[in-house]
Amino acid sequence: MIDSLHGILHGLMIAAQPINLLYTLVGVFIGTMISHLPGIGPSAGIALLIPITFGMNPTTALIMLAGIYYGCMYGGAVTAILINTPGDAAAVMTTLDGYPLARQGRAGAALSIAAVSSFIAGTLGVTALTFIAVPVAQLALRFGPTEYFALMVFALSTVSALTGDSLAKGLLSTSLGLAISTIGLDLQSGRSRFTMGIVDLQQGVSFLVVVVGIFALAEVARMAEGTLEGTMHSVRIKGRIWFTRQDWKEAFPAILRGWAVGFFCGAAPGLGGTISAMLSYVTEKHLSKTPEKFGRGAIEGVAGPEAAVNADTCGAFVHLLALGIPASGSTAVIMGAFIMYGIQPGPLLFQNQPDLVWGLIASMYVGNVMLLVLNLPLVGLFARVLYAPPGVLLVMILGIASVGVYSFETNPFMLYMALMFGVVGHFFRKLDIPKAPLIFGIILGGKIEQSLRQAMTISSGDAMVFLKSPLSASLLCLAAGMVALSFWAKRKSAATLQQAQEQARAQPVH
Amino acid sequence: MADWVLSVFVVTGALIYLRAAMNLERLQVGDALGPQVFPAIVAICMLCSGLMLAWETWRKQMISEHAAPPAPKPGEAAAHPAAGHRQHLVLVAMVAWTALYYVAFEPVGYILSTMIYLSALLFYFHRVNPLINLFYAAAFTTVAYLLFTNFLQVVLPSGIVQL
Repeated sequence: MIDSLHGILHGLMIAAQPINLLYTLVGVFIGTMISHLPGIGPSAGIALLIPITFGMNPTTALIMLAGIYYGCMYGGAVTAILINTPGDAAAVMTTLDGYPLARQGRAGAALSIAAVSSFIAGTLGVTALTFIAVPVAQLALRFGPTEYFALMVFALSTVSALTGDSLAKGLLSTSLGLAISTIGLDLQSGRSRFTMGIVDLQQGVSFLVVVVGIFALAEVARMAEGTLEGTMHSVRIKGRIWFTRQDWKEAFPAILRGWAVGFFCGAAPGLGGTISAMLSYVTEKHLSKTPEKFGRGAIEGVAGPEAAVNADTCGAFVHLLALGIPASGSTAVIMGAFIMYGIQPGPLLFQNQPDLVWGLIASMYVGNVMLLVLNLPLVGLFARVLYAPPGVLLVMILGIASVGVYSFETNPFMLYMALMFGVVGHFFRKLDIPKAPLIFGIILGGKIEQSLRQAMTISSGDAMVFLKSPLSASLLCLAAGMVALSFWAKRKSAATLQQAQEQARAQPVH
Repeated sequence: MADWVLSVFVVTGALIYLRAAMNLERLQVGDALGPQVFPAIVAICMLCSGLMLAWETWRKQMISEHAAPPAPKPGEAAAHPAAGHRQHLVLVAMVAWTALYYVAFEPVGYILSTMIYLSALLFYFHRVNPLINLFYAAAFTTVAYLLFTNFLQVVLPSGIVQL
């Protein structure tokens, strides 16, 4: 507790340095703008901007990238409320009541309650992160390779099982990510693996190339389709941007509940913002005295999920900073950025890089205040991004992605690889294969293999070592349980669907 | 149908990857597992995912055979096959055009290749006055060039345009 207090006070001094304040502002501003661009989510936004941070001090760069992430989550509600399209996947629940409120002429109330909910939940979330991260990191310091291997297996199985509608596709995406991570030189034997004689692959497949291809270039293809179909239309805000006292009375308890649900979901690997928003929405509807209002413009239906999404981002940082394991696709991209700067997130980060870790956490307090100040009076101005011609936007994204990827190693091979992954990302979207598990696989592949091999070397090749450690055995059991639960739940939902369809057929037609 | 093709593709890919993993040279010295065990485990996971996908697809098919076809959502019009075909063609052309841009990136140089690449895309996707599109392409290229070369110290290829 005292350590955390000292840490955060030290962090506030770092975050208050003019350069860090400037880049926090730049990050949250860009994040808010990105969230207003249809289709470009936080992962693609962060991936596109990683190359721009290469010359920077890592602390400043990570402060900016984190700012983009939570700025994006903050602003995702705007498109959800105004055009019934979530700015990021997590804002999907906000469309259910936000858009009906906007259609009733209460867009201002919905937007302002979303901003205030995000601020309260974000600030409470960072406070929880401040005090939870250090004890979690201290616990993780006791982990050996056996426990780390089990923890990573648990993270991968959770993300495979819970992302997307199909367990098989989640597993496929994870396996593909792990397979990509095995390309290049084997660190222990020095032998090259699966390089097909291509010298550029000796160092492995660059994480940045995969992320830009899978997220940004594939999204360009989606935008191109939208432009051709003529489905990318924009709307304008009308009315005052503030909420009534009654709105506040209804929203405040929902914000607190949303924060609790969101932070818990964020701290559990694989659950992510979308699930936390869904859980919060379901909770609010269940607890409401007027559940019939949900889906028709209930203010709690905006406040709860928005609070959950923003608290989720803070929960996800507990995992990333204290354990070195991402909790969502976006934190996986941020973790990739850490590694590219030569910093290994994990329990030792608090000992080895206190300036960076505490500066980053403290910048989130500052960033949340900046977001509130920026969003409330300027939401109308930000929403003008929605009116940018999609045709121009997609071309500019292609331009930024190309020069960004080239600048990484000034090697045209990187560009070909990014294009190839762009095509792969397009097929992933068409075939409903989740992208986050692939990124998890790539990020954790090297670490998981290293932990496995270290654990087996220590145990002289005895595979039972993973079951002899109680923590490792529990985590592996949890991983298996998570997969089994997902298998059962998805089977049950298919059976329920069939039953509903049969019932619908049996109903007499009036 | 797409999921059936995907599952066959995944199973085939997993078997090829497994074979490649097993063919990796096992070293006499080093750790207990060597470089081939982890890829082999990954290949088995991939194989399982392919088989599981085939099973899921078969199950979905069985359910849909016994269930009524889903009613179209209100306001949802069936996509015209010709429109879908056009979309595919445009995407393939975009990929080919981008590949050509990447090939030309170093020999032609960043400025010229990017201006031509972006202008052509803008003429297609943003059908306004061509001069406006040319302005957008030139402005983006110049700003990106200055940002990367001056601010980020990245050497972008000058190619045939020597600055």
